[in-house]
Amino acid sequence: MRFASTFLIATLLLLLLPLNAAAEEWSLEWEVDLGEGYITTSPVMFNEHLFVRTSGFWTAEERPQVFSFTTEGMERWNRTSPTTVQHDLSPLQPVSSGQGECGSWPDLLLIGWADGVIEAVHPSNGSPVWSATSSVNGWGITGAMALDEDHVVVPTRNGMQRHCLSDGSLDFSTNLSLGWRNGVLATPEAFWQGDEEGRLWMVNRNGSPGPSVDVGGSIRHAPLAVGTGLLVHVQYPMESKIMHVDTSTLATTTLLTSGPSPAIPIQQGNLAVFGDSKNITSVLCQATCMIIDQVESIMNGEFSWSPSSQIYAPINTPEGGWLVIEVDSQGRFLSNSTFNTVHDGYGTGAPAFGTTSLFLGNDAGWLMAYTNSLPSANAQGYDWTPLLGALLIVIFSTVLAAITRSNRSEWSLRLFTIMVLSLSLLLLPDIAQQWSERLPAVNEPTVQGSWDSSWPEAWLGTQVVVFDFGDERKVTLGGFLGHESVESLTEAALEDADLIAEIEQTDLGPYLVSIDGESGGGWEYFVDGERGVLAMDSASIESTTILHWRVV
Amino acid sequence: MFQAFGVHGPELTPVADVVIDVALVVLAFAFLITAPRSSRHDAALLGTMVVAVTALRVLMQPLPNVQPVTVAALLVGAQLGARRGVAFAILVTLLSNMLIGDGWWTLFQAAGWSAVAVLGSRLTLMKNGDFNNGQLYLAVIGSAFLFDAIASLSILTPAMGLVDFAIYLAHGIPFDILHALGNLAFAVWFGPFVHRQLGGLESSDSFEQSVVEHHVING
Repeated sequence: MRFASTFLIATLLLLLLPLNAAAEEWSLEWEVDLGEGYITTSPVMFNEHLFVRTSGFWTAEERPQVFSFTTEGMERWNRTSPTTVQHDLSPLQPVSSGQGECGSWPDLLLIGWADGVIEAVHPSNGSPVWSATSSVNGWGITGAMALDEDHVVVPTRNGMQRHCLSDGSLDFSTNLSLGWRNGVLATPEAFWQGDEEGRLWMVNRNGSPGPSVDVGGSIRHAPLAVGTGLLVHVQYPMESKIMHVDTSTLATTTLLTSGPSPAIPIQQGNLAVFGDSKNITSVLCQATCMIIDQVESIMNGEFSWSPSSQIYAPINTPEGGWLVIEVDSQGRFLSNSTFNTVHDGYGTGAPAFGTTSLFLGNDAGWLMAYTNSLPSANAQGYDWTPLLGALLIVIFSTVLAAITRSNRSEWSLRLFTIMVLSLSLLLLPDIAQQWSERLPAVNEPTVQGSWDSSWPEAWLGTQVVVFDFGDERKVTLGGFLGHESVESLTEAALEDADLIAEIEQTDLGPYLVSIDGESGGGWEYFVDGERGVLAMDSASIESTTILHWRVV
Repeated sequence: MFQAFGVHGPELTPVADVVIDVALVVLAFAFLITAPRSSRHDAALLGTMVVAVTALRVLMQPLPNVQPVTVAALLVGAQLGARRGVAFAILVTLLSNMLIGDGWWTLFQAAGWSAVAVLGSRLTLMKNGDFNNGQLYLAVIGSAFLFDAIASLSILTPAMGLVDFAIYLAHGIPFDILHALGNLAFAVWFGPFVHRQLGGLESSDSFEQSVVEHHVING
């Protein structure tokens, strides 16, 4: 009886475990000092990797850099601008691979530099795809770019220009007036951009300047589009104004006069949140735009939304930290608290969010990663396997308890082992995948892991597949875009090469038995020189990948 | 999970494949011949065990790394001695791989199960004619890791460093654990049955002991 009770209590505790773990706690996972310079713009998560840039007024040897890190804190690559000496405030802009009228492009990371250079690089290795230049007057690009279908619109020092994402070719360049941190807004009708003289410009989609409106002060962010028009936060010497602009009449309405030095506002649907050196303010635009709520803070940088719909705002004071605001869909601030780190200080960069991680950078140049024990709400669909496993535990534990009660302990052990084995078989694919993803990959120096100079340049930045039949026979194909798994890329390459493959479905996933009738001792794959340890449908790949299949 | 199961090293030419198989058969019979003599009945029973475990292995192949051969090799080694245990391990490996895939890895699998049989012969798994359950369960768990480590050696190439091999082994730990759990289940469910079947066969140790006693008593 005591044995039975113990089993049942243990089972209940097992089922209650997830409920007890509901408290949200962040812990520092890793940190890295990026050296000279500030982290003034938010780190960016893209393809499960982290990208961050440093900024500063450079007088000595050091120069600004863009870094890429793994989520575990390992530096993948960095890129330095040798000619930039002014503050780099243009947010990094990731672009997913795609195609349009002006061509196709792989995944890109767009970088606007304060020396006027626009660079598109491969996020996987930092190598350049294309670059372009823009005007410099003291500094060049400092504002946020806007993606516009197969183009990117770049706010330049004295206007805006549009480039094709495929090759960087210039579509138009329009002179307006001098700007700083003045991001561009792209809408289906036109482009909008402010300047240092307080003029809000409309630019037609063909690049010709349209009408403008003078709001005084300076506009140092990309305007926000709401159903009723545009919202801008205009900076004046001692104060700022949140203004609504009617896009058809260009009539302006001041919604709020607040503190100086506006932040870069953030938007979610009709809800917008503004910051300055006095308040953080929410504005909801329905039939009209209304101020909804305010909380005191000194916020001059970028906001970000967390996956659980909290707002994170860097507090730009010596004490620093990040204000975390719970906000509902109507713009009401439900609560706020401060997220502190060991390197708190002045800061203007908002956090980037991974599945269960938070990545923060501050003016001191510290990049920090915090992890949360709770998985993010939108990380993935619900996985029923653990629940099924738990259900099996309950059933078997009950049977065990009943049997043990009648003193047939031999059968208790037998049932227990078969239960544990069944559960293990059920959970093995998930567990093995999670386990393998946390381990380093196995390197195989004899496979094609890096670029072969004999390959066509058109394959640069794309996905390349090598089918290695041994005995000197290799089939190599490239130029693939957008495949996210080894299976998808393999199937596409097989089709292009007109090769017939036998793929067997097993409990552990699809298994490539033979290609073109060649089975050997089986086929194994390597991604960028690292031995694949997952079934090919579970193995994800990056936009720039060399997939090597080898018969053994 | 591992797409590379069934992939354990270099592809062999048909000739090399045959050479390895023949060498293993010769080795198995060498162990059988040098083992203490058995009656026809004993030989038939051991042969039946080989066929039965081969069939079981083939049947259970869809379950990842559930390996009935490991427990069987351990028990045969424990009850009939190292030589007959090794012969049993080699023959089961050869026969089953003929059905589910023969190659370079056969050599390493045979070595792995032979090592398990030798381990069984060295441990005191029997106490007063019955299982020493605690030791048996520890042994079947340990033998899973022993076999997997030896069988994994088949993927080693001159280009692969020890660190990479260690990482490769680490990737397989969930499968090793599953192997150990499968062994435990087999030992609990079928251990006593196999013990009863093998009970008819005299172990090398007891045979050798009886020969000694016969000579001493009658000498």
